Amino acid sequence: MTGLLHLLPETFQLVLAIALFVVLLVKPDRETGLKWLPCAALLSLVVTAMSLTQSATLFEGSYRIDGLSQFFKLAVSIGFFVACLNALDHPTLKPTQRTDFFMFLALSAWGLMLLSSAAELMTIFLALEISSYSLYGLIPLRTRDRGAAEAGIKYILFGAAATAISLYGFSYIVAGHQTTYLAELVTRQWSFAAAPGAVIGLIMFMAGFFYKLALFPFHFWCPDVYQGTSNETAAYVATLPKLGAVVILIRLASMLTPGLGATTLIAVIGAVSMTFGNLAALAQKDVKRLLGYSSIAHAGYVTVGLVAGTAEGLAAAAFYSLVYIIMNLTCFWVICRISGDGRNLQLNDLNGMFKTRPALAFVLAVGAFALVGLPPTGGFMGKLFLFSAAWGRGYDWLVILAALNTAISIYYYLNLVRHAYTDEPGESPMPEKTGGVLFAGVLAGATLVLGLFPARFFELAMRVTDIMK
Amino acid sequence: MMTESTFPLLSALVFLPLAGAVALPFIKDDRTIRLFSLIIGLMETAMALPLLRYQPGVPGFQFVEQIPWVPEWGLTYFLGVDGISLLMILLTVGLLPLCVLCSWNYIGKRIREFHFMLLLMTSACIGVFASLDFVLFYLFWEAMLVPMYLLIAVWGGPRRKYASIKFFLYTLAGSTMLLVAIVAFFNSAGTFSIPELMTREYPFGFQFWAFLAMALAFAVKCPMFPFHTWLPAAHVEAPTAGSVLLASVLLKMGTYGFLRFCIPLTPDAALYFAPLMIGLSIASIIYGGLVALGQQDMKKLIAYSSVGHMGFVTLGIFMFNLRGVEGALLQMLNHGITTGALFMLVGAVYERSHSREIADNMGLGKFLPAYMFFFGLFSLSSLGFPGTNSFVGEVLVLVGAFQSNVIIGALAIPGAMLAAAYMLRLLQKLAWGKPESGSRCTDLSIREWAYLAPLAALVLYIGLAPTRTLSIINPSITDLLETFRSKTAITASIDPAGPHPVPSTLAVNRQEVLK
Amino acid sequence: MIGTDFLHPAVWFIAMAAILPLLPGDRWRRLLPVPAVLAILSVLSVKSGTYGEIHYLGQTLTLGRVDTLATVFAHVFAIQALIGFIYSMHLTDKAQHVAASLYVAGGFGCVFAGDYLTLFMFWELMSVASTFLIWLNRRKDSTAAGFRYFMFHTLGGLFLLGGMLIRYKVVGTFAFTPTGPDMARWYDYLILLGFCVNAALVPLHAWLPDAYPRATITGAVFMSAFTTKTAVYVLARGFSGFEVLAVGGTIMAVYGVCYACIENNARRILSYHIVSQVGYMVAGIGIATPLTMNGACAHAYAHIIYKGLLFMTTGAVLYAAGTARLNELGGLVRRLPWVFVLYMVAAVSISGMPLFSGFVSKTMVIAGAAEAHRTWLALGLELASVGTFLSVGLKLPYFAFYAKPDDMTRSLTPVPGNMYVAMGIGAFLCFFIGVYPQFLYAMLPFEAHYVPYTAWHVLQISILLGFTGYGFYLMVQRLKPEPGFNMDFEFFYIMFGRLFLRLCRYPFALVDTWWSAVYRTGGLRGLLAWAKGSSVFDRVVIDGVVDGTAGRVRSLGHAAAGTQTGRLQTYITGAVLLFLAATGLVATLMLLN
Repeated sequence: MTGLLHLLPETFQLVLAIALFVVLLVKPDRETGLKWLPCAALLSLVVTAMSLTQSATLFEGSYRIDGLSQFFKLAVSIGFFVACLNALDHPTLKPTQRTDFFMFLALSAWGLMLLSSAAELMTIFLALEISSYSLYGLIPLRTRDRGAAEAGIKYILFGAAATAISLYGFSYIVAGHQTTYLAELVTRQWSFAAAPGAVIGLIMFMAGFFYKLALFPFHFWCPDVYQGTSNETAAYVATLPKLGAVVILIRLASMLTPGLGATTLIAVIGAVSMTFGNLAALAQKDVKRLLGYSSIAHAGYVTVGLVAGTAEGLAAAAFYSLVYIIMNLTCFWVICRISGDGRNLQLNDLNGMFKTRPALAFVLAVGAFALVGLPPTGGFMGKLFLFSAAWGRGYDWLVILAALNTAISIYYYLNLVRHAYTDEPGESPMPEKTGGVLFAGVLAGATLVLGLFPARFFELAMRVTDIMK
Repeated sequence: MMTESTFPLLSALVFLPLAGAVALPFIKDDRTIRLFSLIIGLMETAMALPLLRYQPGVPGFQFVEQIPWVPEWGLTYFLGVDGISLLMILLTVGLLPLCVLCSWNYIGKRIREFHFMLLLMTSACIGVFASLDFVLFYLFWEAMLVPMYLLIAVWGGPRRKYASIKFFLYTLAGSTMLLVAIVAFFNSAGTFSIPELMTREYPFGFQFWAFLAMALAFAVKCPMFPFHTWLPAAHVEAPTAGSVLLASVLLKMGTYGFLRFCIPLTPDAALYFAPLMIGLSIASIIYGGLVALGQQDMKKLIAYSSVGHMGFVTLGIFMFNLRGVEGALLQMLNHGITTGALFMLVGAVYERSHSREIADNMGLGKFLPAYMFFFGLFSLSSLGFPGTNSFVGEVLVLVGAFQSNVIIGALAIPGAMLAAAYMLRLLQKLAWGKPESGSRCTDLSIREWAYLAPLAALVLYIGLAPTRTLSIINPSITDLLETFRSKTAITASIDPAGPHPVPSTLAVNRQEVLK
Repeated sequence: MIGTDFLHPAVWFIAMAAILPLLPGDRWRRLLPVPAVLAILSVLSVKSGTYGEIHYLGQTLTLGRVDTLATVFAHVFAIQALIGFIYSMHLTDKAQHVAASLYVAGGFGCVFAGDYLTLFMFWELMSVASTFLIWLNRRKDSTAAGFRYFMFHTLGGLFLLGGMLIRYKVVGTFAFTPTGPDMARWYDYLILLGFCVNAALVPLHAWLPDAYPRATITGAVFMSAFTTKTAVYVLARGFSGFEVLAVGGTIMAVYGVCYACIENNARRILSYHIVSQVGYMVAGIGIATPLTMNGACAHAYAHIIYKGLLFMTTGAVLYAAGTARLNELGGLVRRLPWVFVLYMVAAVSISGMPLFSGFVSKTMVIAGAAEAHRTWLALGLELASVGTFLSVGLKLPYFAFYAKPDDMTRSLTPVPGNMYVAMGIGAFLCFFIGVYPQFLYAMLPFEAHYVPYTAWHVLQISILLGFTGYGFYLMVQRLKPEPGFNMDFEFFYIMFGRLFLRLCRYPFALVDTWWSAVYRTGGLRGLLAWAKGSSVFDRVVIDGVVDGTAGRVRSLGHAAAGTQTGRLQTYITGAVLLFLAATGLVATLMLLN
């Protein structure tokens, strides 16, 4: 029974999903309020927060409750809460589909929670699939838009390919080291010379998570999917799944030390992906697509922490991913508020926000500058920690490259602000829903707090390094 | 080492404008907003007065405040001033009310946002000069970009979009490597605290790259030739207050960085690169002067003149001798006062004639005597006329230059002549140029007197009695150079080898022959 | 700032400059002479010694180094200031008075400066104030000329600055002490160069005839007195005995005269005569025997007064007739009799006629040169004095006041009384010094006995002047119908023959016009062209590079975005291939290490 106590967050999330399923069965075709959902999500957030300090190993060591997992569960439930709130008045959704939408949302979040605790390759794999499949269902849910379906297909097939690769790699690992338990894999040799098969396997296994994280070269789906799917879904897809990927990559990276082939590969991929993402984003006009490329770039930044191979490095990666979802959700929140009818926003749609929607304009500015990594936002602190951790660990070139990328990226993030602040408005000022504005303020505040008083949060993040002892 | 202060004066200075900015959205009508910001500015200035209790004799930093910030990374909220930063802070604080005054009529739209940015800007700038934690410094350093960008991009001239983005991209790109350098320093010294970093020694190879990384950021900010290209664009498009802040405060951050970081942290590299930096400084002096001479737009002219003046500053810094460096520091202050005032004057005439072309503002002398008086005073100061503040600075820098190397001094001197050339040309055209265009203009209003007079007073005060000012900066610079020499173990480039005997004279006019 | 026992004369003028703008109405004009009077008093009251040492920039500045050499100059400066301000009392333009008094203050400052730093400050004050005296003439050409003037003097000032800074580096002091040619270092020559610019040493003289004729009427009176004489003072103080000065001075004397002979504008003629007369002083300083040094000082003293008088009288003509071009003037003697008389006093003084101030001072230099066995120099100076008499003593007055009958159509502005008063004082002094030279000699700084009124001197000068006058007389008879200008062509033909004529007409004329052209175009337009060029460079090249880079990055971005074809098959194959490629790359890297 203690097990269940440890598993409180997951359980709660599962219950939530089931509840939604029940609602779906009871009133399949009538529109349902679901006003209770955010409260439930908030409750799950609270529960997760309470079980933050738990630690245990369950199911014969295939499932670990530790600092890392709890930290990410917290992050996931935060994200879930925001996503629910965000999608509550989802304009491009048939009323009958609303419940399905939220059920898939809950399920995928649940999958991610499992993922963050999974400590055994097969478990990891299953958790990954749980979260992915619900997403497959989620993405095409956008009425009056063929693009959504196309995006869905792309996501599924691409995902399938990636999954295939990682399964293939999985088999190599098992062949190489005869175990699937991370706890034991940590003790094994991971140099190419010692265990070539296992290393190749590991690399291929990681590919699956590179795909989730939209790291180069598994990034192709990202911009198309963001553009194709509805704003609310994009807000979710752009943030939470990345957490799942990061948590696993952290677990795997804790087995690696700098200088290993695998580590270098991660570094190279990260470098290419941040550069590519930023460059390609320069050319974008569609805001969501732009954010898609920016997420590719940010995935690259996260790897800077992974390759450091130190406690600080992993902690920095965790912290950065937390910051990342917050600031990304901030931007998406504003986008969803602005596009009243759920259409895709072009940059020009932001013109003159300072006059029509001053509060949202300010929030958007905060989010954008956070994504750039300008102080005093969380983005800056995250970058600082990443760089400080990685410097002197043999990947200085990666740090320098990341710093240079900041310079490249500024242009398109600045474009958001520029359109919002310096261009004259096209339409007349329209009332902002106080609720939306208030929560936008909360998110912006969170971004700033993470930048100005990061001490507490980083302390939390440091606990992810339990796995290293 | 450091004298603790009871009341967190510096924090108060940093946060008062911020608080004011936060309060602004709750004020309704524009006039009240202006008044409110003005009052904030005056309070700020009044609050800065205790800084004058600074004891020059005491080594190290004063008014120090230190609070742990992010223990895991040894980040601390760490403020303090020494002779180098004190003057800059006073300058920044003092400019705030003047900026509010000089944009009283100039800024017609979105007044609330404008003053919001102005106050934000001031906070960040004070923070830059006051912070003793490397990350805190960088935080303020970057935070200041955003309000400046918006100042230009929203209230700027016709090409504001181009200019503002250029400014933002260029300065940010310059300072990315600075962040890397900060990280590298942390990695090798294990702390972000500047005073601690100063006590360490670093291997030359490290210094080499660290210096380059930091120097790039600071050189772009200064700006040194050939990194100056953002400056004219930004200056021309920015609103008056923006130009004033750019010229008086932002540019100083570059040279301040050289003094605060490059010389103490990477002395060997600084010495190694000194020829390069000196070359660039001289290039800036000459080049800035020449291009300024070729301008038709008053603001552009003054903008390029800043390139030249900042060249003098960097020149003085990389002389590594007392005269040179104190001259440089004083010149930073002077340039802040003089060029700021000149931009205000250009703004004032723009409000009247709605053009910044020299050709459209000729022959004002007859109609705007008071205006021309101020313009004359400040342009004389800008060309380093004896008795004005810039003369003191330039002479000190030149003395330093000649002390360390005659050729350098000789090369720098034509710059002074160019300064005379373009300023006098401007002055003469404005005063007596034909055709006269100022007939409908009214002379300076009380408000304009109010923001010009203090600066004029400073020009003369520093020009005629620089001793007080120098006594503030002198000890800090002496320490700086002492440690610099002890680290680099050089004795060259310092004072002349003892005075020669003064040449004896012809029998015919030796004094005692005189009746 | 100055001890009780010595009131720095500059203080009075600076004070006036400060309060003048505040005074309403036009009563203030009565006050103009006051500072000058006070200055005279403080100069008379002062004892030799060092006063007013103040500390500035860690240096000790000596504002009041008073000795006999300084006192002579201060004395005449004060007197000339008085005359000048009386002369300009009728002006209501405050700006001119402010500029003038600052200018005078600068002059005093230089004379009493005990160190190079102080000297430099007042030096610059003078050059700027005098620039304004030119600009305030408010004519197009005068603004241009004023600008050239200022550029040139800034250049000189920078030579001075550079020199003194280097000197400071080597010697370790800014003290303004004499230097001998034997131990002069190159930085001393740099300073010397700076001084020579203000002394209008040929070929650095071009600014003078360019600027003075374009200055305001009263401004010219001041400027003729102070700028060059200050230079003479500092040369005497610091650089006596430099051969270059001896020769250069003589050249100046001859050159100035020769070019004056072929000038048309009265004030330009006088300007060239400043060059010539200053030549005497510079030569005297260069020869540097006690006699010549005294001669230089005495001549400076005399010169300031009679040259001032000359500028005042021609100024009066200009004021009345509205032009100073000889060919436009003529026959004014009936309508401006007193101006004519006063002018003639000055003219004969400058030509060194006995009983007038020029005689007692100029002959000192010449005699000194002769005594020092510098025969050529002596001859050159003699020659110059001939030319002087010719151009100033005969030609100018003849064509200004006689020549063609006065055309009554020309309306003359009445010359105000204060001008007459000022000119009167000047004339009186010229005469007074001429007949009572001891007044002047008593003040001279060096021990040297000299008696001007010896038979030989008087005879010599009278012969020279007589012949000159005779020649002129002849030639005027012969050239009566000719229009005014080319007469001195014939005159030289008669006097010295075609050779000397060519010598002075063509080469000098050509050289000087050429030099002035260089000075005008090369000096200023060249600089401006260069400036234009570099601003274009800045716009095109530097901005081009920066913006170009940014642009290239963006196009790179477009290229990168181009890979996003939207076709799934390319995506997957691309992904797999790139992944393999990356892995392969890393693998090879690992193997290489």
